[in-house]
Amino acid sequence: MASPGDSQKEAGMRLVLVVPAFPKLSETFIVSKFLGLLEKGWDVHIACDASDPSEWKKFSDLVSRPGIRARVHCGWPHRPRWLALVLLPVLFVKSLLINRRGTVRYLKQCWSRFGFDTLRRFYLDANLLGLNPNVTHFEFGTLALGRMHLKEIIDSKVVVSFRGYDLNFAGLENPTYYQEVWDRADALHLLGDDLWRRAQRRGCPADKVHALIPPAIDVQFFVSGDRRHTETTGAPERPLRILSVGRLEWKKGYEYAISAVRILRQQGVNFEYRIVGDGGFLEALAFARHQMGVKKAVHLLGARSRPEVRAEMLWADVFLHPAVSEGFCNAVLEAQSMALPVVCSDADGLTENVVNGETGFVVPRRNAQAIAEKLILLASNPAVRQRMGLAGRQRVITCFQLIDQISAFDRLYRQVLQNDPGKKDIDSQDHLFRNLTRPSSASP
Amino acid sequence: MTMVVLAPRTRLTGGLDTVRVLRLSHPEDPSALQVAQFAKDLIALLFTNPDRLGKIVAAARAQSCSSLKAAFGCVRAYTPLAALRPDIVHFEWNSAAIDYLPMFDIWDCPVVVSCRGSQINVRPHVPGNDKFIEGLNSTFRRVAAVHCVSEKILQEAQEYGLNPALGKIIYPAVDPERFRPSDAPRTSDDTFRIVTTGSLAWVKGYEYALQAIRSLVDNGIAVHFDVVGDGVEFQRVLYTIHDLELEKRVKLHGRLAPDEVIHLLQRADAFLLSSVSEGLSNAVLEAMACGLPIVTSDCGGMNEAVTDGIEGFLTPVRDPRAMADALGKLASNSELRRKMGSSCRTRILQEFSLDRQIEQWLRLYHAVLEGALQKGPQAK
Repeated sequence: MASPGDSQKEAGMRLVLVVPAFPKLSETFIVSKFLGLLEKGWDVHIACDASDPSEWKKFSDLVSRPGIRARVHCGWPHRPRWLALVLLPVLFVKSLLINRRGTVRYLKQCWSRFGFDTLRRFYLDANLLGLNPNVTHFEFGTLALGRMHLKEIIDSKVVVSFRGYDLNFAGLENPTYYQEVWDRADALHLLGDDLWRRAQRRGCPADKVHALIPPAIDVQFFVSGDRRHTETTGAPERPLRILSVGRLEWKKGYEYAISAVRILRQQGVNFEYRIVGDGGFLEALAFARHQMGVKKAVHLLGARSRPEVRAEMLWADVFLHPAVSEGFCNAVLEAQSMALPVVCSDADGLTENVVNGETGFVVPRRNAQAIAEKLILLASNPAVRQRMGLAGRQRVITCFQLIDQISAFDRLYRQVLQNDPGKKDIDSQDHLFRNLTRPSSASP
Repeated sequence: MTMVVLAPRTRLTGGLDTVRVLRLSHPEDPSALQVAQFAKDLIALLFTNPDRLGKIVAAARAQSCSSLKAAFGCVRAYTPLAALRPDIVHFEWNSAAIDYLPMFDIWDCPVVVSCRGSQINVRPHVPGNDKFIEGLNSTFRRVAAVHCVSEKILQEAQEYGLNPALGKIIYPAVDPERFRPSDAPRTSDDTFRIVTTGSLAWVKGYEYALQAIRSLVDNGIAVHFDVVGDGVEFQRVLYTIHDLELEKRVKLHGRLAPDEVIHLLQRADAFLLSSVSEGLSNAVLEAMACGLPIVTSDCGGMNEAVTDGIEGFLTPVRDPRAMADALGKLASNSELRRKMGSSCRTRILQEFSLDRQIEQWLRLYHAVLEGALQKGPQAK
C-alpha cells in the first residue's frame, strides 16, 4: 500500500474509487475514469475485492503505464470466514504500521459505535483506512451500504454512484434500503434523469446534492472511418446485418429480438443477426432461435474483445438493443459512435441515450412487431441509415466523450471537497446534460 | 436425479415387489461420512464381486480419461450401485442414464429411461452439448424401452436416435380424489381469478403471461392472477409485475403446500400456462382435475391434454395477445367456463388418472422383462 500520511491528505487530492473487481472487461468506464483523473493530477487509487490477472492483459493502456499496479489495492478475502479470522491480526499489525494514528482512531471510534462489529468492519475497511482518502467514491450503490461510517471515521467525503441495478432491483422490498446513503453521502452520481427519478421514488430527497454524468466512451477507438451506408439490404445476396452486444441475461430482451427477426423472415426480408456476449441466458436464446426457425441466421458469438466488437460494428448495418431493463448502456453509445443506426427499446435510460427518429428508433419494450417494423424500414433505406449513423456519431462526440466525463467528475470532486452547502445541484453537468435531449449540430 | 430400481426377487408375478428409489448425486467434495461410506462399499465390492469393481474402474477411466479426480468421482458414483442386482432399472431422466451408461453392462438387466421434457426439447439445442446428444444416441441404442410423457416427445426423441418401436407413451397422471373441484358453491364475485403454478424459470414464459394480464386489465376486466412457485427468475417476474404496474393484480405466492395449491385451484376461474416449452405439464393436469378451464400455449404435448375449444384454448407460443383473447372469452362467459371445466374433469378421469397410469407402468415393466418390446409394435 502506498503510504498515506496526513501530509498527503492535506494536499487534498487523494481519491479512492471503490469497485468489486478491477479491471473488468465489462466495466471499462472505471479504467478510463481512473486513467483520466490521474492525468488531471488526482492521486487516484482503486480499492477492490478481486483482481483477476487474466483481465489485466486485456487492458493494454493499463499495463503499459508504470506504477499503475501499485495503485490498485485488493482487499483480503473475507471467505472462508475462518481464513479472515486468521488474517485479522496480521491485517491489524499491517494497518498499524502503515497508518498508526488513523488505525487507532478508527478502532476507538468504531468501538464506541459498533462494539464487536468493529472487527468485521475493520477487516473490510482496512484497505480504505490504509489509503486515507479525501474522497471515497463507491461506484455502485450497493457498495456503499454499511460503509457510510467511513465519512466521519476516516474523515473522507463520500460520493455514491447509481447505475441501474442498484435502483431497479437491489432491496426493492425494503423502503429504507438506501436511507443511510440519502442521509449521509456528500453527493450522488447518477447516469441520467431517469435514474434520478427512480432514486427519488426510492426515498431520495429532491434536494439531495447530485450530479447527472452520463457514461462516456472512447470515441477515438470506436470510429468507423469512411464506412458509408449505401446498400439496400434484405435480399438473399445482401442480407440485413443486425448486431447486438451485451451480456446474455433476461434484461437484454433478446427473446423479443429473435421473435422480431422471425417476422422479418416471414416478410421475406433476409437478415443475419449476430449477438455478441455471454451469460446464463444462452440456453433460453439457443432454444428461442430453434423454436422461431431462425437458427441458421442467428449467431451467438460469445464474448468478444473490444477490437473484435469494433470489427463487428463495422460489419453491421444496424445495432439492436431491445432491453427490458437498462440503466443507460455503453454498448449503444459505442454503436452510435461507430455511426450505426440504433433500434432500441424505451427501457429506463435508453430514451436518454438514443434520440428517436434522429440517431435511431426507440420502440416500446417487449414488442417484437415494433422492432421488426423499424428493422424492415432501415433495411431498405440506406439513406436513413447513413443520416442516423452520422447523427449518432455527432451526438456521442458532443455529449458522451470520455474527456468531458472526466472533466465532469473532476468538477464534482472539487465541489464536494469545497463542501459548498449553497450549491444544491452540482453545476458540472447541467449544460452538458441538456444537450442530451437536443443534440447539437457541432461537427465531429 | 432419481433412479428406480426394482428389488431383486426372481419371479415377478402379479404386482411388482418393493421398489427402491435412489437419489443419485456425487458432490464434488464429499463429507467425511460419505468417504467412509464409499470406502466401506469399495471393500465390500472387492470381496464379493471383484470383477464388477474391475469393470467400474475401466468404465470410469474411459469416461473421464482427462482427469484423475473426475475418474475417481465416477468410481465413487458407481460403487454403491454395483452391489445391486436389479431385475429392471428405470432412469427417470436422460442425463442420469447417460451418466450411468457403463453400469448397464455391469447390471446386465433391462433398462428403461424416461423422456420428460427439457432434456429432449431444449438441451440439445444449446451450443456445446454435442456430448449430451451423443449420450442420448448411445442410451437409446442400449435401453429396452423409452418412456415418453407425450407423443410429441416421442417424435422429438427420434431426432436423437430413438427407435419408435421402443417408445412407450405413458402420460403423467393426477390423483382425482385429491385434485377435485370444490364441493362448496362458488361465491359469486366480479373478479376473474386466474391461477398458474410452476417453477419460475424462462421456459415457463411468465413475461408473456403478465403481458396478457396487463392486456385484460387495459380492457377493463377485473382480473386477479395468482402465481404459485419459486425459482431463479423470481427477480424477473417481480420486476415485470412492477414494470407493468400489476402490483395490485398479481400475487406471488412462492412455494405452497399441495393442499394450499388445491385450495387456490378450487377457488379460481381459469388456469393459464404460458410456457415456451413443455413435455406435458403436470400443473395443467392438476388444474383440469379441479374442473378449471385451461388457457395454454401450444407447446410440447399440451394439445394432447387440451383440445382447443373443448377443455380450454390453445394459443401460439410467445403470444400474449392470443392469451388475452382466450382469457377474455372465459372472463365474460361463466357458462363456457363451467362447460369447459367439466370437460376437463371428464378428460382427467378418462385418460390421466393415477390408477390408469399404474396399470400402464405394470404392463410396461412386464413387457420389458419378457423382452416383448423388442418384437412387438409400439403400444399405447
